[in-house]
Amino acid sequence: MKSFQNAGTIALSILNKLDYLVQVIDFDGQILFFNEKYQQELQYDTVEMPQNWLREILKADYVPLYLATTQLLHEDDDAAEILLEVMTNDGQTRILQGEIKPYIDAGVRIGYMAMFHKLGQQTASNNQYQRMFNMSVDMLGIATFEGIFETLNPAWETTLGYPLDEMIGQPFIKFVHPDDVEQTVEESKKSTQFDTIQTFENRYIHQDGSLRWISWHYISNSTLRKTYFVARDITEQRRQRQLLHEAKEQLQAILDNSGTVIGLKDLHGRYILVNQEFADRFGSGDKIALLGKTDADIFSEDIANYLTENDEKVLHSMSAEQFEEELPADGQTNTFLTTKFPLLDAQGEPYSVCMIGKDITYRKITEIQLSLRNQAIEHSPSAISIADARLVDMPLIYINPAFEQTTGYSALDVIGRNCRFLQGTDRDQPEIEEIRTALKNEQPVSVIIRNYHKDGTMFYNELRLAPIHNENNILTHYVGISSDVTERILTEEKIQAQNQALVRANQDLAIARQAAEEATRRVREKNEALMTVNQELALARKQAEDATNLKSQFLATMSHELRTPLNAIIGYTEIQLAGMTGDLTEEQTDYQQRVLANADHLLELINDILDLSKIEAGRMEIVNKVYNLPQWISDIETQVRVVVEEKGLEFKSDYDERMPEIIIGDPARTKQIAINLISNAAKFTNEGHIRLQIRKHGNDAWKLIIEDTGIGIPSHLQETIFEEFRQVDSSSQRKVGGTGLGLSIVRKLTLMMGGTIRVASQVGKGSTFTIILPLIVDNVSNKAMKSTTEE
Amino acid sequence: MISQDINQWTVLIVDDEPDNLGVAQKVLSFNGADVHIARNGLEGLAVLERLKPTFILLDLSMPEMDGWEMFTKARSIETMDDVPIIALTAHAMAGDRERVVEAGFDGYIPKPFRIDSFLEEIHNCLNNFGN
Repeated sequence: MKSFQNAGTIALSILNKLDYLVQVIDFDGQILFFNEKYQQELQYDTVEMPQNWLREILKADYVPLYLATTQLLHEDDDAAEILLEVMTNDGQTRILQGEIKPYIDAGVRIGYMAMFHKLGQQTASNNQYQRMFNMSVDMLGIATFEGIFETLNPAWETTLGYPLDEMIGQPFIKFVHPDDVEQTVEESKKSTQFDTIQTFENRYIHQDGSLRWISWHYISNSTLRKTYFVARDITEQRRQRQLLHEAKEQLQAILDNSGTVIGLKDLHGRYILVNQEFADRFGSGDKIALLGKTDADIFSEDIANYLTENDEKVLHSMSAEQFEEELPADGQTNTFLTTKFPLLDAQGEPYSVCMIGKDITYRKITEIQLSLRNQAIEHSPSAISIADARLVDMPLIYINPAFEQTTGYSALDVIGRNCRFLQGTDRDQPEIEEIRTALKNEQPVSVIIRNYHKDGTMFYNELRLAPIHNENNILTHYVGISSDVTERILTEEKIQAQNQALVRANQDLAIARQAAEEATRRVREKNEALMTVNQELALARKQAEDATNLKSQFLATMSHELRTPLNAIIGYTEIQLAGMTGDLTEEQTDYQQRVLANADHLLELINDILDLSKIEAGRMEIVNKVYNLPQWISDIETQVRVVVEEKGLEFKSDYDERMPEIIIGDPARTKQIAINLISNAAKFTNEGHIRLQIRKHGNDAWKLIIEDTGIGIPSHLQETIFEEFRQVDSSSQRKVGGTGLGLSIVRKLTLMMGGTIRVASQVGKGSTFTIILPLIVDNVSNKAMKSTTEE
Repeated sequence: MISQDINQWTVLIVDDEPDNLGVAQKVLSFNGADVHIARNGLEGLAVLERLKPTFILLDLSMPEMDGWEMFTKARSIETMDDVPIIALTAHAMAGDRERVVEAGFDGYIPKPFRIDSFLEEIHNCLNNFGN
């Protein structure tokens, strides 16, 4: 920091010791810096330097010269030589000559830096300035606040065509274009209020009547009431500017209406120009909004990457290349055929990549459609031919494979020939005349004509010819579609002959038909009657089914409701008999045992009645399955042994070894039969035994035999014992109990299983009940069992 | 293994018929079991909230909530997993036993029952439970 400050101090002391006058002023003439030499030379070392150099130090005559020089600097030049006359503090004049340069602060031109060496009074010459004044290409001059040209240099004459003496002393407004007078008067009024440099543009009229655009730089001195100005003819500049503007507009209009998307990107991939189509398809329609954006801002990353790749390709090849680019537009992905090329600057270096893209999505679709149509024609089962109507004799120019097949002629045979060769020598058909007329009138026609195959065989050709017109409605082609309808025509001819025979036969048949119809009507009536009966039957069946369902529901409820109070009766009785409520007297025990016996009997009765009802209701179902017969016998033994042995009887079972062990049947119902018969036997047998026997009966049946040594059944009653509520002796009921329903149930179950039951008995000796049931053997299970037992 | 000693048993009997309830309760409590009763499925579930029985004797046809529903609800209580549930029912027609076993009951005692076979079925059931 210190060294920097030192540097400033050193620079200042150098500037002060220089033998040059150094000053820095801004564009408005305000003094920003001066060195000591300058101060001394202009006699301001004892008094303060005035604020504005332009107004208070520079001599008025030199202001236009100064303005002209600085204007040059202001625009482009870096430095300019200058010669000026200034006033010292004590009223003397000094001639200064030197160089002025733009004064740049932070990159911006804010004023001028001047370095003068003093020429002194003796070298000053008005002639010198007058020469410069006269030589200036820019128009210099002075005007009074009243608007009169006071001094003008010869450049005015060159620019406006008037001799100087016709202008000096005249109001400048006289030369101004009528449209700009008002504005100019306004500006000149304003000019008297400023003591800083102002700029302004207006139009003057040349002596020959043409227009001149004039650009003004001026400054006013209110003390002298004068305005000093530098003016320049910018007519050509403005014309160029206008031309450039028009060229730009034209270019933009061409770009916007080219029907393509156009975009220019700089080497950083930022768009520097896009056309309207581009903005419409890829943006919101605002061209300006897209400038400065990259592809990544506009498209997805993937798309941007591959667009950049293509850009790099053309930058590498330095030539125009074509791409098919898939770009999202209008809410879908469209295919663009894009041409890309680099734009080169004056040095031949690329500075931009231009993309011109044509949306070919629909062209592609059209191509596909055309290809589909071609294929349709090529593979059409109809023979298709095209003849050129513009050529002499309308030669064929295309036939499809079906045409070759139908006619036997190949494309090589027929292309270039008129298709009348198909007619052979058979030219007198009226249809041919019909075709000729249609062709003459350029009308479509459809006929069936006799044509001839290459091998000479005739075929009927159903031919449809259609004219094709171009967009100017000129007939260009005929398209023919042919079908071989020989078979159909021949069949039709045959049918016609047959039809005539049929008409005759029909007349005969009509009579027969009438008779048949009469018969049919009668049958129909019968059918209708039958259908009514059927419907009634179906209804009856449904009602019966409903009734059956109701019955079984009723049985289930009855069973439940009867058993429930019995449970209480049996339960409480047993509780008392078991002594849970204290000891009972002998009599009480006796009565309770009777209650229990009666309850048991009631339960038995309920079970039997329900079983019988179920059978009656058709709800008893026989469920056949595979079961093991020895196991089944053993189950029965366990269940009845107590009852049998309680009565002091012997239980025997006898099994026929020829019987298969595994059979198919309803083990539950068969067991019910056996237990029923065994319990029954036990009731009527007081001594001896009860025997259960299983016997094979032929190959297809087996016997279940229950034999007892009981009281027996008299022969006259043996037939009725299977009826409900029958017992051999009504008096015996009291002695042995029983519902009288058991045998009835046994018989019904036996019948349901496809078996028979019979009884053999001798009073006093005993009874034998024999059930014969069908024998169904499960071979698979038996074999399996045998093999395991053999092992 | 559930104890075969009746004195160790806590039994829940659920039945809407007071006499049937009375018989089963008397037989079990006389033999030393701690017996709790409920008159329908809802009451039965309420009892289960208070205690965990050794097993449940469950009637099927009851008002409010029948035995089938209570069975399902009781089985969904995790802590009741190891409590056998025995159907005690007057539904004793062909097919009823199969229906009950298929539903997942652990035992089936048809009404009317005899005391001997009643106790025997319970013992069988407790023996087989979990096997």
